[in-house]
Amino acid sequence: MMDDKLAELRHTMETAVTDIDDMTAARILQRVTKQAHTAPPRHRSNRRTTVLVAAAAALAAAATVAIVAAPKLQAIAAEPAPSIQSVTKPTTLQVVAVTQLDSHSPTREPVERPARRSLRTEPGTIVHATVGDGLELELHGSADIALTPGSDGDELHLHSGKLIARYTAQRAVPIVIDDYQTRFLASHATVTVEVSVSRVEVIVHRGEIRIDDELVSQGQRWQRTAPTRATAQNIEAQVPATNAQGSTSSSPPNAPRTHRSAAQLYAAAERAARAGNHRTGRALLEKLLRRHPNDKLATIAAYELALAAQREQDYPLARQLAKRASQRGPLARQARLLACQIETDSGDTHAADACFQALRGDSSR
Amino acid sequence: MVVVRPQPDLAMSPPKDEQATTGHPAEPVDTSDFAAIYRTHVNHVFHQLTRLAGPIPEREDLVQEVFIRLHRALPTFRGEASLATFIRRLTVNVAYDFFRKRGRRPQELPQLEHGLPDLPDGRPSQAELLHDQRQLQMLLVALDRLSPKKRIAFSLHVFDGLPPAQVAELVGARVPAVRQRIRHATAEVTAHVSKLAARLPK
Repeated sequence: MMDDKLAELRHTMETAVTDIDDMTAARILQRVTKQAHTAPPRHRSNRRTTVLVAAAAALAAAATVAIVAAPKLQAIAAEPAPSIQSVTKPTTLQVVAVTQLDSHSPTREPVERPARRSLRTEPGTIVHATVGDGLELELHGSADIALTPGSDGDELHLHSGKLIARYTAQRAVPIVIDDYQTRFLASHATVTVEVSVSRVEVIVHRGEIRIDDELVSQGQRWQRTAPTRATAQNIEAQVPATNAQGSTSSSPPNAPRTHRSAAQLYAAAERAARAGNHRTGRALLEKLLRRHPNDKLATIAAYELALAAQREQDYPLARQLAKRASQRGPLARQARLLACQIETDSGDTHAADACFQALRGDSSR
Repeated sequence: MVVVRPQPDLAMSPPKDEQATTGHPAEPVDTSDFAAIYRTHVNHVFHQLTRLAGPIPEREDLVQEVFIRLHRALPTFRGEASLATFIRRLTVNVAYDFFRKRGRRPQELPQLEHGLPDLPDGRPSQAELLHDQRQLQMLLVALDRLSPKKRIAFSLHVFDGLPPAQVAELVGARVPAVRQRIRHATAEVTAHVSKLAARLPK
């Protein structure tokens, strides 16, 4: 009798069980990914300390209580301890002036462009920009830079081109050159950095800087030549090992670089991201977009970069990348949804409403 | 009245979507591809949350919370249990936290919608749909009266078809305690559903 009643209740509940719809599932995944990336990473050492402290306290208090409570905590132990959300405002890059070199009398024209997280400059110009409070940049000719979060705050990635950096504060963002696995730190120094296909060169005009483990002082010049193709592939394959050991210190032999296919770049980006090296992953995706703009993987790369830009609140860039990803390719539909969410995140409610309405209209057709 | 075949042992027949995820030994899982894990398990989590909490609007937030916890916990996942079991445990924890925060709702039977359109042949009739909807509402009202611990034990046993030992393992309690919770919850729910049904106009 009771079994009949329970079976009836079970049947009643089963009438309510439906599958989650694709749009909702995609929306949740996006929110999860966003939240997971905004929360600070948990370190094993902290976890170990927490466990040790908890164990000591439990032993001191009452061993029997701990033994009885252990099974109940089993499931909860797998979950992270509540962490304090980072409240540090992300560093932004702001263009303050542009000098056109092709005119007869080049003059510095002040401009005010919105704060952003990445910048590409055109040949024949010098773009003057600031990064946060402690770094002034002069980007000469065609240069490509981006800010990405690193282990100790934001880092400035120079992908290509020439820049003069004036560090005016004790603590400013470090500069990273991904292709050469190079990172340098400076305070109250002025340096010129030039990245080309074959080498990277740093000249210190004022103060001193630390490049990887080397100290380079005023008046000194530091160079590193490009890795060979084989070495570059090895570096990508060894991303986890490189991360664990720190930066590479030996200079690879000088040889011309050959371009990799879109699939190779994407695979390398995936490997880097899985190893936790998101900076390298992102740089490789950007390279894929630049070198293979018509490849089918380019739209996927654009989607992933749009997600990254959205996380970093670089909405103009995120919007542009989402638009590109939404034009064609397997993620076109998701990219359209992402574009609407970017509008929502950026606070442009009218654009967001219009975007969602257009999306709904297309879905119902 | 809904015709239901009596089932000899509820614990022997977990719902279809759960059959593949229970009782199997742990298999190596590629935890680096979170999106793939999400796609594999999101429907199971959604179903499980529906059985635990009912078709409530907060389900979407609860699914999100389960996967946020999973994302954070994956680096420490050692594969001692199957990933499906691990996710189910997280789901139960999330539902438990939700019930505790929300508290017990006031017990009243929500108003039903009338004037549903006629459906084509072969589909449930309007009266059948209304009956199912009414039954579900009464069940949810009765479930809302239970304490979180009783509700979870009852739902996992009756709706998910898990034996008390497996329920005990999931909620981190002893088997006799779980049996008692299920027994009390069953008595409370069936009594309350009967009471609500008696109050309905014939």
